[in-house]
Amino acid sequence: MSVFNPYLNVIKKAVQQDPKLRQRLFSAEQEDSAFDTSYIKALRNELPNSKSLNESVSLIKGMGAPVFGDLPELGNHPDFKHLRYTDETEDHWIISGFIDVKDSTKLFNRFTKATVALITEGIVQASIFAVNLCDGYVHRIQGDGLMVYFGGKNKDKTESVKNALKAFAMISYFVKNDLKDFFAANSVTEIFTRAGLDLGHNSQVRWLYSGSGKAGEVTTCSLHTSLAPKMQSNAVSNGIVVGQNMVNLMAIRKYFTEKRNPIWEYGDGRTYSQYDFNWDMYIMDNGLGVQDRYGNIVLTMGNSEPKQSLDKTYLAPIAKLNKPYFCL
Amino acid sequence: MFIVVTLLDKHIKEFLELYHNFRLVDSNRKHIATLQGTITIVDENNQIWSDYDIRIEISHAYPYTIPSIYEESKLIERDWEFHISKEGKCCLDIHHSMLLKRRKGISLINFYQNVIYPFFANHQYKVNEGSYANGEYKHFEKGIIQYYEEELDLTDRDYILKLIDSAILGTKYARNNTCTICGSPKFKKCCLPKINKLTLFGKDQLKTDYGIFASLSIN
Repeated sequence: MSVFNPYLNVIKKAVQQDPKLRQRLFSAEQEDSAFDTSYIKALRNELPNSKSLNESVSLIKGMGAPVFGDLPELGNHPDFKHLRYTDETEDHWIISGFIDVKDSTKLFNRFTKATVALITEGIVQASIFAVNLCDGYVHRIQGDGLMVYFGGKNKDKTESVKNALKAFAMISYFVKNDLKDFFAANSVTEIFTRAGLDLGHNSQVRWLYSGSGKAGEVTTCSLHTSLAPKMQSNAVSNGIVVGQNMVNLMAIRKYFTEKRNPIWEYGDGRTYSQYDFNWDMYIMDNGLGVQDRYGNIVLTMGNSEPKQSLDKTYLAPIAKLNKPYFCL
Repeated sequence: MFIVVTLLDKHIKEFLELYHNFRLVDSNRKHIATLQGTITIVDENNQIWSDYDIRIEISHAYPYTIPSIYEESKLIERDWEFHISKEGKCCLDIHHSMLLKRRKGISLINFYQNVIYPFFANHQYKVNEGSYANGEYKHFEKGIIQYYEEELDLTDRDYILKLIDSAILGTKYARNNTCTICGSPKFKKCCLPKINKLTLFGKDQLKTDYGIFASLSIN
């Protein structure tokens, strides 16, 4: 069972039950109000809560996986929440990340808005799960995208970089593999993720409460927080682009390919580089997945021990391609 | 300096970009390129069955070659019932099938997906079910007789010998004349296609096959 199956299953049901999709061949364009979408509420309740999140976590081995309680509220990073409603500031390193689903608006052409909302909600919740599993913090939800932070006080910077890469790799995997396979099987337009991540060091990040009264959030002012969405826009389909500061902390550089153009010019001749992150190689090298016959990644999160009961029905088509002979 | 990038170099690069659990360990020894890595058997329902550490040796005659595959994790019992040598060399398929592939030229990724990977999937099938999914060839000469029966639909030993003889000698017969082998009115419609198919195995293999069938005739 994949850690993302609870989300995928809800999305599958929503797509399969969508009245607009089912009737599109037989009727002219109809308003959403013409359809009964009352089932959506029940489906929404099937998305994992804290209890079922922990059931998913129990499938994961070797992650040092946290136990989920109530997830922290948005816009109020737990390590800097003392800044809320104050005019105090604090300089502290942080990794900023942006990820969103591209081309999701095309879904409106195929489904009722109730279904689109549930698909989006499923992806967002799956992403929140991955971020929290990897010790990250969701700062803001923007439609079908997230702004997140990794790191904080009493956290190791290099470990936080690895966690950020792991979380974004998991989300990219979910959309590129699990969702794509299902959408392709149902002739639904392809959607994909794009992500950007960057690290700002202590001298490069200022934490503050931004806003007025209760209309505000504890946030960062940093060139590197600002560069992360720029990198996101430079990512290829299902790609993740990361900043130079993150790459500098990684002992193994083979996962990163420098882009031709730097993401920033300081104005004094110095530049700041951006890198494409080979996340599928990272997943494989870190024992988070295995590859099937065609090289497709199957996410295991380190738990790749064969199950006790395996069904030969699904092995036979591959095994039958072989007919061995002893010839030596 | 001018560097020649061969088709093998190109295909190894593409293979390593796709399969992250493999690495190139040697590309020059005795004109053989060696890849090492782990093959995980994942079925069509994403169930994970087992891992094997393997070594792939590819001759620089690529693509007109058949890679040698060695199982290094010793998960396959070194017994001929499992179609493996004591050194771990795997017998992936019968010679004839491999000769056809070699003649046509292989593509590394395609060979991995359709020959190497199924061999290990089939081992898992046998371990769990007691037999191979698609049967197996009998050992040595009996396997070759079985191949002629099952793949070429040929069972008559004398007839097979005549076909092989014609294939080895490359005798030219008029396509539209009566067949001198079976007596049918048109050679092109009876034995010619069979001879053409046998010719693809090459004279060395055909001579071996002839010897096998000839000895059966005597017995």
